[in-house]
Amino acid sequence: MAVVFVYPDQQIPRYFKESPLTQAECNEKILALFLKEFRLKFAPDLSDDKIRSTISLDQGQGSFQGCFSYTVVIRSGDIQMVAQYRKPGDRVDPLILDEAVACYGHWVPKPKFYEDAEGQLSLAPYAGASYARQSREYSFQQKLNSVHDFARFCASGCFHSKEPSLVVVQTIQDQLEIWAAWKLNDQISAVIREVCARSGILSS
Amino acid sequence: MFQLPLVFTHADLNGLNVLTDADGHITGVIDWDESAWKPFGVGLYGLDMFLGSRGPEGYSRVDGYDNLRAQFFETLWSSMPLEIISKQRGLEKAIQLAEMVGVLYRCLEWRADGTTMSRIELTALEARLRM
Repeated sequence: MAVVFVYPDQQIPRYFKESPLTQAECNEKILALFLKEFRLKFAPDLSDDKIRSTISLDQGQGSFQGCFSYTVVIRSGDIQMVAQYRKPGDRVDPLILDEAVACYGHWVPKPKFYEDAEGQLSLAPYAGASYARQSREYSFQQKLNSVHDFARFCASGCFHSKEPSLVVVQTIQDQLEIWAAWKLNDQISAVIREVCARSGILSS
Repeated sequence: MFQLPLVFTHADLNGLNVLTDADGHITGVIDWDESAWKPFGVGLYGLDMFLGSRGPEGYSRVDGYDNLRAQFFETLWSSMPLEIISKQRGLEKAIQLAEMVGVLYRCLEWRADGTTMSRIELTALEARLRM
């Protein structure tokens, strides 16, 4: 079976193929929510149409687009949010986000969720742009800044860790056993066997 | 790896889900769906996005790879909780092992079997496992 790669610009129509909302309906819903959420921050005497004319949706030529959501940046003046629509079957469990915020604090932009039968919309504070979009232009120093911050991000998870778990390690053991049997190629199989041996995971 | 604490681990750390500013500083990490508690180190698979890129010939390392990787670990260890820093010597090898497990999960977990991997993908995985 051939692997089919779906590049970001193909992902949006693909995502909406089996969605209860069209992309246009989804954009309209996102605009309405943004407007509702930030109504008080806009001049109260401005009409909705006037405010709408200041709002822009950046679909970023697919720069933010993954496989399991429709993701856009929405902004007006200094307010900038990332909005994400997920079909009913692709909903995110908000408790996962709570756990991520508890563990990683400021590294996790916490979204507000809005749910109905047509799916889940979320709005999260947004700053910067995706690393994928910017990194090609980064100097060594900028890359170094990203690497240092990624190290701090990883370390911050250790301040909210749990005790080692044999159940979790057993799950990894089972998975490695499956991959070892795949016979991907000699080098990779050798690495998997080495990982197993060095970790004392596999009995063989 | 049995000795590593469990940390809440992002399942899809890639360049689309890490937000940075004009100076390269990380401003946020998004898309936490599928995250789970895994041994510390498994999430270091994400380091690959900063140290290399996928191209038509597989995975290639950025200029200054060794320097960036060394600086990552220096900052990582200096930012850890004291009780983990005190065990650094004993944990380093286990963490490197967990990183390899993370790379394997990243590249293989979503596949039904190994037959769907192209030669280029296999080459990329080999390169990523060479730490």
